Amino acid sequence: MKHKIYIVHRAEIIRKGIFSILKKRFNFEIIQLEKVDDLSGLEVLSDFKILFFLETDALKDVSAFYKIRNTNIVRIVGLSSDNSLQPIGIYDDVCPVYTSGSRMIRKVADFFENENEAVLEHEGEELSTREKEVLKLVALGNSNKIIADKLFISVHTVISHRKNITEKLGIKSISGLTVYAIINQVIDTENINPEDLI
Amino acid sequence: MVTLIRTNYHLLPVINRFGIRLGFKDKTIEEICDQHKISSDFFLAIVNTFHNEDYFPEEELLSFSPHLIVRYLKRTHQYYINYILPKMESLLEQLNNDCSPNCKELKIIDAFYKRYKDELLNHINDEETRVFPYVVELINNPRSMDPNFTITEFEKEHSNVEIQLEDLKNLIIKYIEPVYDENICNEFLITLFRFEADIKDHARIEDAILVPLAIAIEDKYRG
Repeated sequence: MKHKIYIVHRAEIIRKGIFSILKKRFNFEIIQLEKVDDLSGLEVLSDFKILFFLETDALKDVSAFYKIRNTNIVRIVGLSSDNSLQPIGIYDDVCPVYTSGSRMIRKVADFFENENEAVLEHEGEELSTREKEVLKLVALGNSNKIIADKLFISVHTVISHRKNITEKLGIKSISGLTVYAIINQVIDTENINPEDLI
Repeated sequence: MVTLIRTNYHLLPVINRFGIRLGFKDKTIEEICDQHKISSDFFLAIVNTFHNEDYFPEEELLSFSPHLIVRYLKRTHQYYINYILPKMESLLEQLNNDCSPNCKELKIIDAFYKRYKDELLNHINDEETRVFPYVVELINNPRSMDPNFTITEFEKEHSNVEIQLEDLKNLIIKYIEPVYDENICNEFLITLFRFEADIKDHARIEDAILVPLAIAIEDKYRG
C-alpha cells in the first residue's frame, strides 16, 4: 500500500517547516498545498494510506474527505492555531501548529506503524518512484498541465513534486534536470538522441 | 594599488578591464587612475562592489557617467567571450578526448554546456543591443525615452543564466562517472567556480549601479 502525506496550510512557513521536519524522517510522498481547494484529484486515489495535516480554520467543504475514506486508509490531523485540542467533525486528531517536531514525527510514525520500509533509516537523496515519473515527463519537455493530466494528479501536486526533486538533486533548470534524467537512466534513450532533449 | 591586488587577486581581471596592467611600482590607486584618466571614485566603486558583497555606492551613484559603466560592462562581456568561454570549451574538449570511447555523461554535459553558452551569449547580446543603448539614450535624451521598456524588466532576466551555471557545476560534482582525467576536470571545475563568482559580481554591478541609476532617471522624467 502506497503512502502519502498532505500538508494544507495557508502559511508557507508552516507548510515548509512541517515538510522539512517530516522529509528528513520519512520516505513518503509529501505534498504541500495552500488551501483545501487545491486538493484536486483525490477521488481517483484508492488503496493509499494517506495522512492529512489540515489547517482547522480553513475547512468548509468536507464531502471529498468522506468519499476518500471509502477506498483508502485515511487519518486527518487538524492543525490548530489556538488551544482547541478536541477533535471535532472530520478530524481524527488535532495538533497545535506550534507543537514540537518530535511530536509531529511521532504522530506520523504512529499512523504508518509496521510499515518500516517506508521510514528512512538515514537521510536519502534518492527520488521516489512518483518523483522519477514526474522527472521523466519534465525531461521529455512536458508542461506541468500535461504532466498532471498524464499522471492523474493536480497541477499543484506536480509543482510540489518538482520542488522536491529540485531540492533533492540541487538542480533547478529544466535542461539540468534533463541531463540528470539521461545520466541516471530515468528516461530511456535507446530510441532518442539524448542531445536533442537538452 | 599593490596592497589592493595582494588583498584580493581576483581583482586582476577587473583592473585589466580599466586598461590597468601590472608594474604599479609604489603608485597609489589615485595616481594610477589619474595616469589612465579614470575617475578614481568610479574605479573604487567597481572594485568595492567586487570585493564586498554588501557594498552599495548609494551616495556617489548619480555622479557616475553611464558611458563609463557601460564601457566597463562591455569589456567584462568581451573577457567572458574571448577568454573564459574558450578556456572552458578547450578544457571540456580535452576532458572528452581523454575519456575512453563511451563517455556518455561527458557528451551530455557537453551538450548542456553548449545550451548554457547559447543562453549566455543571447543574454549578453540582449544587454548590448537593447539594455545598454536604452540606458545611454536615457541619459542623453531623458525626455524621449522608450515608454514600452523599463530597466526593471531586464533585471529579472539575470537569474536563468546563473541557475544553469550552478546546475552545470552540480552535475559535474555529483553525477560524473569516475573515468576522466582528474587534473583537467579539476581545472574545468575551478574555472567554473571562478566564472560563477565573477558573473555574480558582474550582475551585482549592473544591479547596484546601472539599474538604480536608470531607475532614478526614469522616475524623474516619467513622473
